[in-house]
Amino acid sequence: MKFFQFPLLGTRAISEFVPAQDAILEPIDLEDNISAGDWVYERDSVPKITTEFWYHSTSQIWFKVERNTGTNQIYRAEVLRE
Amino acid sequence: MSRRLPPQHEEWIDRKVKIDFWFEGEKFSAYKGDVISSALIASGQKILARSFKYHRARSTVSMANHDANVILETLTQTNIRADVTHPVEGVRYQAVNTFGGLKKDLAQILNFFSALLPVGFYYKAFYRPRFLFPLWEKLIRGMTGLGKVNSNTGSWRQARKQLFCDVLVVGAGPSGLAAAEYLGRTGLKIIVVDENDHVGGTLGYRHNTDQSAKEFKDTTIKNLANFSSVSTLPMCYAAGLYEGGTVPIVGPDGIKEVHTKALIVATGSYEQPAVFRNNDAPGIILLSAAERLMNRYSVLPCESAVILAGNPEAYERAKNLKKIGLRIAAIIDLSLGPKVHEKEIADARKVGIKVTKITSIEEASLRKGTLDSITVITEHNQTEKIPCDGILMSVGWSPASSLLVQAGAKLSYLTSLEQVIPDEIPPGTYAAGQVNGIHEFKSKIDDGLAAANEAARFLGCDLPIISRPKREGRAHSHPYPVSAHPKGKEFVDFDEDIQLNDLRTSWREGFNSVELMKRYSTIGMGPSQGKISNMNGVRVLADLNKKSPGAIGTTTPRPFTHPVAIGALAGQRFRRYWRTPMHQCHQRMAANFEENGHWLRPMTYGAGSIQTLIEKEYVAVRDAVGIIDVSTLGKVELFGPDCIKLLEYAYTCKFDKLRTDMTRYIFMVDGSGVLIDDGVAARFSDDHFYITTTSSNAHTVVKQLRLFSDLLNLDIAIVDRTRQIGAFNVAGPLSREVLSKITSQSLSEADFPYLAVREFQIANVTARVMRVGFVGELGYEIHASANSAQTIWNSLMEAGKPLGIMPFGVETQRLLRLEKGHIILGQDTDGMTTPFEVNLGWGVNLKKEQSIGKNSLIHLKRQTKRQLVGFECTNTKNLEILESNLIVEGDRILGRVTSVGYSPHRKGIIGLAMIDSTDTSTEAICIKDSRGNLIDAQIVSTPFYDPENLRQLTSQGSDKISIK
Amino acid sequence: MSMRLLKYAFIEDYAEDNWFNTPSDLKGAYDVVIIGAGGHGLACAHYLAQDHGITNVAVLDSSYIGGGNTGRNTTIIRSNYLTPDGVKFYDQSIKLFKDLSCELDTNIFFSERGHYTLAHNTSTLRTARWRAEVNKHLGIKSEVVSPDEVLRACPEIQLDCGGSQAVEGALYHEPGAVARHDAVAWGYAKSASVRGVEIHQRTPVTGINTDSQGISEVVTPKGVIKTRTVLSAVAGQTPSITKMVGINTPIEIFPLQACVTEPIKPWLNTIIVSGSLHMYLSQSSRGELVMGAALDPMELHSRRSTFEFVTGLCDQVLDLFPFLSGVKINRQWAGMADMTPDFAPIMGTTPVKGFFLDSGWGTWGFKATPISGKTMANTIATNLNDPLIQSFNLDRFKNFNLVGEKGAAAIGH
Repeated sequence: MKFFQFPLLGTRAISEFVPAQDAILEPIDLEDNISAGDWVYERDSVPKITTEFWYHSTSQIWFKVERNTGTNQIYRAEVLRE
Repeated sequence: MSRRLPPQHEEWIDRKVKIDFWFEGEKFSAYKGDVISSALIASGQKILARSFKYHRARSTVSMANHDANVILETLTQTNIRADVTHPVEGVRYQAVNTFGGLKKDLAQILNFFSALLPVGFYYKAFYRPRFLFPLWEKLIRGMTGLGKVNSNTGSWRQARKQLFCDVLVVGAGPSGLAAAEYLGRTGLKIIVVDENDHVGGTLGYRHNTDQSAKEFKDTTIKNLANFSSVSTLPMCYAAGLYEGGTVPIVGPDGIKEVHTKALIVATGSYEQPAVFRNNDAPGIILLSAAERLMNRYSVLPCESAVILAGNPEAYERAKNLKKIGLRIAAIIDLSLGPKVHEKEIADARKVGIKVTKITSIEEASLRKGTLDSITVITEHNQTEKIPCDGILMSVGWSPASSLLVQAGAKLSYLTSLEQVIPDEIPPGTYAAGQVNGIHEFKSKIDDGLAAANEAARFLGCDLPIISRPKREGRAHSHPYPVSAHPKGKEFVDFDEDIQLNDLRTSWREGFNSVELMKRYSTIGMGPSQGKISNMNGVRVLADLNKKSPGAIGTTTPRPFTHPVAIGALAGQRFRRYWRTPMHQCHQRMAANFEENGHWLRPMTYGAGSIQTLIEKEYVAVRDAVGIIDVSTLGKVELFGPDCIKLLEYAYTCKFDKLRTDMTRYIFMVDGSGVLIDDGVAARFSDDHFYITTTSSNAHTVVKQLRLFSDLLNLDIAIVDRTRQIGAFNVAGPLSREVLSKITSQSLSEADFPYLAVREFQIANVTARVMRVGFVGELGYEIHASANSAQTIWNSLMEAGKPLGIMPFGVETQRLLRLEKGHIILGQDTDGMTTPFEVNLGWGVNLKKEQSIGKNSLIHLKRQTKRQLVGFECTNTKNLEILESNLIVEGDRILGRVTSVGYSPHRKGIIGLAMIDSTDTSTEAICIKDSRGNLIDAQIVSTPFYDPENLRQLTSQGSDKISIK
Repeated sequence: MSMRLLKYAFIEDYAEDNWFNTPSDLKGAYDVVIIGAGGHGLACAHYLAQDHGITNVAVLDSSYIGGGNTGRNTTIIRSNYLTPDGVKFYDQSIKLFKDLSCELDTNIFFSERGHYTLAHNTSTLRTARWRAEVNKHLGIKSEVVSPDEVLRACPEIQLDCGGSQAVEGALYHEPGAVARHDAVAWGYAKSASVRGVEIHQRTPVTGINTDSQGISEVVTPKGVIKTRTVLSAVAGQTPSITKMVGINTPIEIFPLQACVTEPIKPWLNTIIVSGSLHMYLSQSSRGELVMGAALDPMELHSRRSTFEFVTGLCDQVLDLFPFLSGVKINRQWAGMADMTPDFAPIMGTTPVKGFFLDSGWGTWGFKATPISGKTMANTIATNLNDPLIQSFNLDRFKNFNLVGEKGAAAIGH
């Protein structure tokens, strides 16, 4: 079990969290050469350090988590909205 | 004939307690502390098992769970490892995978046909002609597998415990104990585990003649017991290392998940066998197996032993065993040159042991199924046959490094030691002792101390550096303990009966890397996972490839170290069971429940056929009044100035026209425009809303609303009230009359119109009441706190009794709403349905600045390909049509039925169907039932019942939740 | 008894020829470069050579033959899909599978077992029926069956599932089968090798160059190869390859884990899947129970195993098969699944000329091995998408023309 130190919650198992799907924040205007289909579906799923939104269902809090999707190393977790 | 020795210093048996058990129909005795194998060998039993493929006679090899030769079963348990399992009084054990018992095993015949069963034989035969393969397969399946499972036994589950520590020390031999004691002094929280019944490792069976070793062991164990920060767990093995430093420790009472900050791996190494003809015969064991048998269980492995020496320690170890009663016929030295082991040989000869230097082993010979002699080629190229009933092998080691590799370490081959050692171990994990290529007793202790010192400093302890001892300059493993024989039967892997020639053939057929060879030959894939076969496999492959073993690499050791029982892994059975506040009311009314997620909901009430029950409840709602528990709906309360902003982002509609104290139907799409939830929104004020969601999505909607609110930085409080509030619907023409009896609130059209929401007292309980309904009758949805909802329910039932009130279940509700043409999300919609396909386009506002799924919806509006329609079959009364039956047109599939039922109102079958809407003028459709019959149906407009909505709506507004 | 086996028995020191054509050096140019020596890539190489006479082909792999998802899946083969496109495609795959042992001269142990997808509630049962109806309409043997019929096929099952989520029925798919996954890859590799295809193991692709005419070169540590045609058949690493040619796809990588028990005497003769319990199991010819569960919840490019997976799976397994408490899990492993939004593959031509994709197989690529090879070979040879894979093209996402498999979501494998 992998643990990480979360603000407000302390040390938690990361299995307690579920990540948000992409395409959450609807753009007000799509860029010219991007279709709605591109915006919804395109991904860049290569190993990289990325920021994700994780939901902790027991406390109903969203976190912003910096993680390496290649190694699963977590660098930082903060409450999505302080 | 007993092979039991007089009491030994370190023995693990308690000679005062005798245990009788049965093996293959014969009675045997053990002492408490014996394992099954030791007790059997003590009684002179030579054959303990049959091999997997050729059914050759086998016995133990390692006495330590490093091999999986001796696997037994009882009536209720299977795949019992006899080398590490204590016999239980009165239990009848037998060997697995025999046909007619161990002695007479009919499948022994396979041994004679083994030439026909070369490596990968099953890839090369049985497929022509094709129709015969199932017969071959049946035959193969009959032969395969180890033990039988008894499907009549019940389940058992062991609770898993969570433990946290600073340093976990795996292995309590000299290095592990030294490390633990050092760490104990730092005050760090330490857990020490060892898979054996007692701690000490080699201190108990190899270094036990050394006085200083004995002192070290006694003092360290005593000291450890005095540290409150150290807990020692014998009989527990570390099954694997997982991300974040989790090590499941498997013991007799279940699994402890140890979460550790640092890990010391002092797991020792697996002694490796030599490969020669008939090297699998009972009686040919590792020298360490003999050490364990004699020192732990006080059992003599054989009457007359030949020691196969491929490393210097063979001599010292042989002498030690000789001291406690082992009769040594000879030491045969698998020599690498004239000077090698010169001193050891001279010393051995001095104490009267015959030593023969050999270049290779010809074969082990058997008489009547048991070992009789070994034939060797001496250094002078003479053939020499040495009679013996035991061959004890000391030819090399392979580190028990799986945890280290799982931590990220690499393995490299050290030519000076002729063995693999861990390399590039990531910080936080430390290797100590024999697993680290340290063989000498004092150095093992020093290595343990150094590892502990590194671990403590890693955790921030300010301690002077202890440096690692040097690895010895001479080899402890023979670089190639392999003697080929033209007739084969030189086994490299005992689990899988893999012979030397099998590996050669694999190699020649192109399976010439360690991974391909493993998969083709199945070396290392058996129950012991290659602990005593992989290294020899690598040596053979290196030889074939003319490379060093280091250039060959190794396969990745995956969890588990030893197999783990499903019942231990499963843990306790935790399931969520949620009950609505009215649950007891339903029970009293003899509800027939169905599971709905974690909830239980009444399907119908009372006894009788489901159709009769539905009909009774249906009539009550349509003609009088019914009541249904809807507490499972998600309920969310929103407070704050940004309520509308959030709702307009999350839902498809605008909220500016929703007046205070009114409600409306709302639905939600995801980013791709697919419908994911619907419900009702009530506006109490500009900054106070109350919304409901479908039962199954309650959690998801709250999650999404919170995410949106956080991302948009909205000033809003979102309160999930799903399980705080009970809710039910009172519906039917008499619902107003019933409700008015228990409230002083005016329910008149003017005071409480359709779609309005009010808060008032019912039966002296504060309730929130919405005049909405799913079933198409005048109705009220009442929400009240979970602890008082039952009071209202009971009062309503009481007040409604004279009017014929009946509770109704979800089955009846499904029919009622179908007549009304209302959709159920997830039933009438699927994972791709857009609002436009189910005629909800009226509720989609695409002019909002920002709203989830808006850009997709703009696109999807133009390419709506399907349409949900109502249909009716006037020519059939029987319900042959089932939900998910297809709408067809010849070979083409036009769509499917999503909801169907018999409508008492229309006196016929009605339903909803999702069809390809390329042709909107279609009036007739053809439904194919599950038996393939075609049934004609007409497309009709919905609602099927009360299309003007007169029964719900008597003053204003229009219910737009209808179809076509 | 097979002649082949008799040779081993009676000819001293007998071995067959090397199955694989694995020259140590790369040539400077190939007609086609296939990235990925798994089942799919090797099948494509085989059909390119056999059906189209294209043999100047190099199959490159960063690791070894069949070392990716080919060797990590749970070997289930079925065609009970929801859409006509899916059903037809996988039905053709099963047809090829049936003859594959003879075609490749390698017994792949194709074993029809019947496949039961259990339904634990009405809504799953409804989806099961949807699949069954579509299948039957297209001539595929699928049927919704009662719990009693499940019990007849597998008398050991506990239908009440320990007190919640009882089995209410199942989707029975008679052609459901298992096969020896490694043998499929080796068989294709052998057959392609005989025809001259080269297989280069431990040869990772580090770059793909393009010029005005599309694909021009493939870069590896062993040298740069000139070619005008590249097929990416790399399962869990597709995004890294497409990035080299500047294409974005909807593919997301999630780990998929599996485990096996120690060998036990065969008792389970069919394949049992439960979407609600997130588990599936069958028993291999070696007697091991092969078990899997749902995808890991987070994107991850790693083959690490988790303890949560194996404990969660065992918890559910005991609900269906309580007598397995004492049976032991021997080994667990993971693969990387390339998931698409509509649970259908991404195959065929791409915006980059000469660059072809065979990807997006998610958790179920093994069962498509023969047909993906065949259709991709045809697509490459003609530079036109094979009719069977037209609806699986990458361009579908831009216009929301997703494959309808998404309709049923959830149930997999």
